[in-house]
Amino acid sequence: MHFTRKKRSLNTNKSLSMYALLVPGLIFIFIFNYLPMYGTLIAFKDYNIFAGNNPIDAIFKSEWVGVKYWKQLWSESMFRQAFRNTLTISIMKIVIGFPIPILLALFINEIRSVLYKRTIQTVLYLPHFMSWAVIGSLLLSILGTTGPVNTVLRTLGLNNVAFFMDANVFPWVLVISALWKEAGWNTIVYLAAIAGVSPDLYEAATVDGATRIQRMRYVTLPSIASTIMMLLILRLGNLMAAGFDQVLVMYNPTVYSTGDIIDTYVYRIGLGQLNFSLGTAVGLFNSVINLILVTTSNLFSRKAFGRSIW
Amino acid sequence: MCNWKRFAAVIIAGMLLLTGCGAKSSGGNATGATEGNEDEQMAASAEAETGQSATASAEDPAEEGEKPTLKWLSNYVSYDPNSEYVAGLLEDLTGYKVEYYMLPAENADQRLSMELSSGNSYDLLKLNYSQYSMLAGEGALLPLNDLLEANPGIYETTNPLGWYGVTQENGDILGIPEVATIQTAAALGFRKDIFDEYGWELPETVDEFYQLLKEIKEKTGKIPLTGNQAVQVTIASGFGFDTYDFEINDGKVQSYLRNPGVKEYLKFMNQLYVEGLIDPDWPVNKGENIDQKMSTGEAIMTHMSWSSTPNWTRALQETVPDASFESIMPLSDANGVKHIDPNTGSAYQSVVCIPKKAKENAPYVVDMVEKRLEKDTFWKFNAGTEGVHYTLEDGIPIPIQPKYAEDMTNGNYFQTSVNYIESPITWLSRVRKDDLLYEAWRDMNSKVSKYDYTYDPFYYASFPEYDEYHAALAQKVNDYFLQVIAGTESIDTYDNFLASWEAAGGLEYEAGAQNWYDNNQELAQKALEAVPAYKSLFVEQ
Amino acid sequence: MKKKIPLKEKIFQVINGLIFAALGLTMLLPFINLLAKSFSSESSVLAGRVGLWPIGFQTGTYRYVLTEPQFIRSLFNSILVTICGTIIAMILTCMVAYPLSRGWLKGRKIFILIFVFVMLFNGGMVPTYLLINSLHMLNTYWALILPPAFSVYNMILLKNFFEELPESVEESARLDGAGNMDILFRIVLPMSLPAIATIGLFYAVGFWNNYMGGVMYITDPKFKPLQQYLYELVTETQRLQEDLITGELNLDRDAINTVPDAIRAATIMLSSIPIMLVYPFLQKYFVKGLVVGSVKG
Repeated sequence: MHFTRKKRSLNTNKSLSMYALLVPGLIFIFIFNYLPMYGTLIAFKDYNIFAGNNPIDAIFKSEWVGVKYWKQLWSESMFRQAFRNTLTISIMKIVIGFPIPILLALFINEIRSVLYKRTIQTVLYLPHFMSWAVIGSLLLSILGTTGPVNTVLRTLGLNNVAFFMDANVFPWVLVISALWKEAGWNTIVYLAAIAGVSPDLYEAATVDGATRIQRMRYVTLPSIASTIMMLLILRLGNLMAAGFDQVLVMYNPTVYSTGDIIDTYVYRIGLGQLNFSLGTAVGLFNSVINLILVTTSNLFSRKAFGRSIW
Repeated sequence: MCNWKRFAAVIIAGMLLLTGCGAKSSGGNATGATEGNEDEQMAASAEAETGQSATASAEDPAEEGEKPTLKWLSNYVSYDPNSEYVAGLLEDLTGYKVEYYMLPAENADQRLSMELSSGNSYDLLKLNYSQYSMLAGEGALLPLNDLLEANPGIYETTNPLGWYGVTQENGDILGIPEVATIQTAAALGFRKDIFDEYGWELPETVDEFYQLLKEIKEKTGKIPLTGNQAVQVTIASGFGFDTYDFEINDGKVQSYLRNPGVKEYLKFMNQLYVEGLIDPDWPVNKGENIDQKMSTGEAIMTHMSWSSTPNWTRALQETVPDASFESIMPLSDANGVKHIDPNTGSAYQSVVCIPKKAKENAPYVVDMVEKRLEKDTFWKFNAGTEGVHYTLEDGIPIPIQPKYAEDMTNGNYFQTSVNYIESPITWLSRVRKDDLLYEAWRDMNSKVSKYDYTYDPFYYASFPEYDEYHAALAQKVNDYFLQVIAGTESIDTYDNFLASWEAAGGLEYEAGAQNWYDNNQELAQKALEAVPAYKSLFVEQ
Repeated sequence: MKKKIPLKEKIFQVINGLIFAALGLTMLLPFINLLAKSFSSESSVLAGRVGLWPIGFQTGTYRYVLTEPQFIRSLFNSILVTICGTIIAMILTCMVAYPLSRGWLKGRKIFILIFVFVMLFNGGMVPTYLLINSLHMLNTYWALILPPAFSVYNMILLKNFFEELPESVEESARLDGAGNMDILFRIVLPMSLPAIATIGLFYAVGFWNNYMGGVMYITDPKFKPLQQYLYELVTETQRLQEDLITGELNLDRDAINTVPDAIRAATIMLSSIPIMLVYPFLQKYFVKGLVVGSVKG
């Protein structure tokens, strides 16, 4: 009894300074994130930025159109196709692009030479700094019909592969090039998490005669499991972003059937127009889907693994 | 405890650093665009200047003592105009100090509309034509009629046809147009050395062209024709249409998509694609890839602009010393007519306009525009100073390198309009800076000048439906055509495509064009008859 | 005493090392190619003859880029923004992540949700621009520093790292009478150095790569960040090449003045090197054993 009471009084004291720490962050997101949220009204209006004395006034003076933009989008078969492609490409990117950095991190961790380890880490993270505009044109010349890859295929007596024109192949080009670009970068978090694992655990495991695979499986992996779960939840919360910059650089009309995503579709139909409303409507649509995914995956993770973001 | 102190030290250091940034930023910003939103400030400054501007607008403001610093907003360029030689030169020549601001390359239109609607103050906007139309349509621009009357030099030195596009129905003139000098920029280019080697003749008809492509493929094993266009103009001409958006039959305006030749053209292109006579990467190619294929010699022909040939030639000459390029004119259609588009660019290079909220400095802006159009000034910032940047040969400025390249390269950014009497000559200094460039330019323009052709009656046209639909519709057409060429879509779906084009605004677009044509017959006629600035240069020879 | 390494281990090390060498090579080659191009003559770059070694060696491209006033100015801007921004962001993020990582804090869930919500929803382009405008931050460094100065994503990552720390150390400190701040500075932060380094790297790279800030809030070339400069250089050249092909000659942009490939390559190299150097520098914080050592010391 005595003990719990003491703990509670300590708790309120403890909490006060904790809340104080939160204040700057809360003020910050209130100003920079919550204040501008009145802007979502634009999605329900036929917004003309010049309609009022200033852009805010214009929001209120613009005409209500309700859910017109969503109706308009859903009635277009091209949009529904883009929606399907967005989900497909994004899920492919998660299924392939999510586990591989974990594997890379585990095996980088096994490299003994510190110098070699650091060099490899640095090299793997380089492509993250290349823009898609640069990578895109590089890939076009490597994978084009006259490029080195197809030349090798031809000398081997195989058929050309139209990497950028075969609708079945193209999503893979997107997924694998994204993997190439980001895998090394995505290992960083895991490497940091692994660095936090106490060496004592490894020593104990080695003394118990654990093999390397067993050590990875029973020591390293469990100690980064919560990081993995959390990153997966965050990644699912970003599902609707299938990679606008990348697709815009790499796609072309012959692969719209599998390569056109919502962002690129909206970009094309909005060409030459200001379309603030349409853009906001699509953004809201994506946000709602992402919200559903984050909350369900967080709930699932809590129920199944006892780990969650909140 | 020690950590607390360290933490405080870090924070203080951070703050100091930031005040450092702040000081720098506010220094740079003292005359920046940020104050614009403050209504009081705006009102105060407006009040302070109205007295001045009331008298100023009546007479020539240049005589009125102190000139304000003008804030200029333009589209993106990669260099900082403020640090260019020409910026300083123009300050000396016109007496106006100008601060140059620029929109980003991405989201430029959105950014522009946000800047202006929230009242940020710029004195002068140099925009592209569609941006100008957007602002004109929203009533965000200041009518310039009175100011133009007060500065007659502007009317005297600019192309009179250009003013149609910036005059509203009520007679308000909302911008000062920069109209291009008509000339040919691009045509089908071929490797002259290879054609000579095999003794190939230049094709005139679609059949001859087809045979030529087969021959090239057989003999050289290279890609006969590369490109990425939905409408390959040289071939399209053989099927009886050109790159103009509209055709006029007995006063009825129709999209070129309704020309029966289009379907035939697409069938032919698809055939070429299937038979491997054009680049298999046609729908995928970007400018960079075409550049690469031409300068490595992988491809023999492509639609090229004269300004890209010098680089290709130099690259090729490293391995093939006698490599060179020449151009082919569009193919003749069934009636023997070549559909030549003498100028593939748009009429309006840019439009200079003034936001409504920048009324007080408007007289100075227009005065500065007039000063920059004066013959001497125009020559000085377009061609440079004689003896320093160029020498005159037969009245044509020939650049002195490297001084010309150092100082004058970006001179045209500073144009507020084009002095249409002087610019055909001053502009030549740009092609004369490189012999290969000049050769390519001459080749194309002299060949074009040998044919009779008509201009696009819609060359100077402007109507709201154009701004609303043109870009998205053009994208739609481009997508479908490339799909048909590559065989992703069958040509049998053409009628469906046309219907979906109509539904996506095509009908409104056509109707808008018809409406414009009905009301501007005279201008359309003038556009048809426009005399190319450079044609005379070649006809004489 | 040196331990003898068993043969099996040796074989594993060699194979593992080789696989990573191969992977690393695919990622290194494009950079070597770019580097070679940047030192090659323009015509050999165009002719596609430059592979992994410069042809027609020259350094004029670098001299050109390093004397280009806009490049130097933008480089300075980005370095300044990255340093100031990362410091502010780290302070702010640690302050939020620490309380939210303590399971006993009342209302923790609600606070986390308040933060997570803004990760998913935003007001959009116009209101954010208006906010920055009314704060008088357009065309200032603040517009590049403040909007990205707090990332919920990074905060959640850091919070997760903080949660992973062994509770025993903290409990014993509390019994010694340590308060929240003592625990934050003397236990949580020193024990989380790999995490701090990671989040710091994420922020630094985020600030460095942030190019929308320039697009949205800057019109004065003096404040243009390097990424915007680079992006515009690369894409604008590509767009110009496109225009040349279609024949859309625009005298205003003067198609004749396209930026040569070799200069573009040099610009890309010069603007990625500073940020690429950050990671190798931070790697010493990723070493195992550091955690225990720092707590003991």
